[in-house]
Amino acid sequence: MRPGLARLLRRDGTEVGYGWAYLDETAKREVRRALLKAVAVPGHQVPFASREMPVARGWGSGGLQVTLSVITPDDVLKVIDQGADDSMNAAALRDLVSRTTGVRATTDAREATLIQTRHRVPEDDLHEGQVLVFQVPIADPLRVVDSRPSVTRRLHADRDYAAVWLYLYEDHARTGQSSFTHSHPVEVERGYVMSPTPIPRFDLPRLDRAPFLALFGAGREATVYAVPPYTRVEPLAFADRPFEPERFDGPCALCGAADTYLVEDDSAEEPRWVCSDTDHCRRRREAAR
Amino acid sequence: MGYTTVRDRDGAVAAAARLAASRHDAGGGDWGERLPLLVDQVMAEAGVYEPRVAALAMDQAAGDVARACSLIRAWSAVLPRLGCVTADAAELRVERRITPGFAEPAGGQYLGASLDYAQRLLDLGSGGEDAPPEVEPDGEAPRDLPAAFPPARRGLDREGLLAPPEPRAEPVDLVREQGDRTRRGALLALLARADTGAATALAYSAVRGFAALQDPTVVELRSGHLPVTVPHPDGGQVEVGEVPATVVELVLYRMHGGVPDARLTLGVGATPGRLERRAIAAALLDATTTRAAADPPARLAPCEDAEFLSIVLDAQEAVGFVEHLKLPHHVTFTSDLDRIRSARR
Repeated sequence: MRPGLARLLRRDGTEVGYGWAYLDETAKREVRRALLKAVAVPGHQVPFASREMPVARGWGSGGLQVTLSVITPDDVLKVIDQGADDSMNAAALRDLVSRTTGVRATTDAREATLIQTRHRVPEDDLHEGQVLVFQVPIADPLRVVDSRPSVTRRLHADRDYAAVWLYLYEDHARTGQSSFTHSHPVEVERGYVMSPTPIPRFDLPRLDRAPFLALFGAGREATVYAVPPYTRVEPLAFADRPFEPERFDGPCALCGAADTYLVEDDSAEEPRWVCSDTDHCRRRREAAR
Repeated sequence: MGYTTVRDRDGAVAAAARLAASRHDAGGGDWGERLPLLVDQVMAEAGVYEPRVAALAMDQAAGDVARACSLIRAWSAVLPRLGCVTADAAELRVERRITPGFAEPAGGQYLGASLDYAQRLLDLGSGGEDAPPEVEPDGEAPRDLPAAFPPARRGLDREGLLAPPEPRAEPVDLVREQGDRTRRGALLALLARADTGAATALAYSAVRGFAALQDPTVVELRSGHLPVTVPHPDGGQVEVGEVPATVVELVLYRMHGGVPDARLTLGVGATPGRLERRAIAAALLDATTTRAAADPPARLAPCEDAEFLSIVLDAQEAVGFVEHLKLPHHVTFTSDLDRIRSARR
């Protein structure tokens, strides 16, 4: 409970009492086996024995287990929350991974080889060989139609997605639009329906046939799943009711980008909209100077 | 310690944890001073703010929170009731303010004392002597917090995005008033002294999907001290003290079904002390019950059912009845057996 506890891992990068990358090798191997299965069956939810981590469940414990299981000494690490590298929880997670592995950390998404993220896909065009690790709060896209895993497992096994399509149909019939905000369900390679974690709808097209490997870790729900590179990821939508990403009225007030995801900033006199990807925004401003 | 935003600039994680650690003496001293959050939990669940009595009760209850609360409630029940006043949450003297729904709110965010982001690594050494170095974020000295903050939900209000509070909560003194505990005011009072585990579990069920799918966002969490004022016999108001409190405002986005007007449901929760999950759980359950009352689903989930919540949330009632099963039951059990034997004949 005391901050002094963190001294178990020395700030010079060497560790006391814990193995390299914190987890024991058996745990890492188990997570990697689950991930291999997940990559082989895109969008399929694979259970694993989620360990108690030095962060609270629901605060990135699943993403952290995935990151710590796949990280190698040569990796370059980036950790973001809401798109920002200096967000508190991202900083704490990055600190834990860095101090237990000694790997180099960066804020530049282009040079990172391993990116752990909560709620965003970085704005930069990512490339082959990069791994994106998503922190997942609710793994099952069918949770909206039934909260019991015993039921939804069977529905997934049968590829029975009638209920979620009906849900979407009812939305349109009642209100003229889809009610999905973030976490809009997607169909992976015309197979399983998957929850793309609470990333905004804006980010979904960037998962489709993306060159990077996307790994999803849900610690509290003890599930991993994956989207391999160049896999089709299509948001559920009807042909005559197309999928709608979030829209913004103007460009970023800081960098002027008109093609990024914006969040409101009320700290100034007048409310304004600024990029959620803080490092991308910073680099654009520096380049303009 | 002031921050304009909840971002880890120059060691805010360590500074917040250090501030939290400085609130209690990790080495020696009275256990009540070492475990301030446990004392907070006992005071909240007992419904009585008196740290010394809470610590005393825990000692006499061998660390059993439910029994300590029972001791305190029985003690306080026979004390004379000298007055009854309401305190306005807007007057909270803020020591910590975060706005998870907004990155850069008017007035800023102040992390204050928090272990939220500190890594959970058990220190098996003697501990305490190797705390992180003193840091001054941004290279600035600690700043005082503003006296007041504009409500973080102000923009939502202005845009008409919040459903009007319906039903309005009227203050109820649950301890002395008999009556309907499902009314919003009564339920809020019950939530303020609810069993921490039960309230958290039921709030969790709401986000875990055991209700019409809802997406809650905490718009503001404030923690600090709430001034208590009473009418002076010679007229006017006089402040007689302050109690530590945490207040949470949360909005619920109902994602699917029913109502065409797209407005957010506001949930409000408060707890004495700093066990923040208590206030968050209360706000979430306030929102789910309010939303269900405004547009009743075909079947209420437990977290939407004010009547169910009013029955199960109080630890004293639940603990008392569950533990009474230890009492002798051979007379009633004989009666049970009589029926089952007769049925088998």
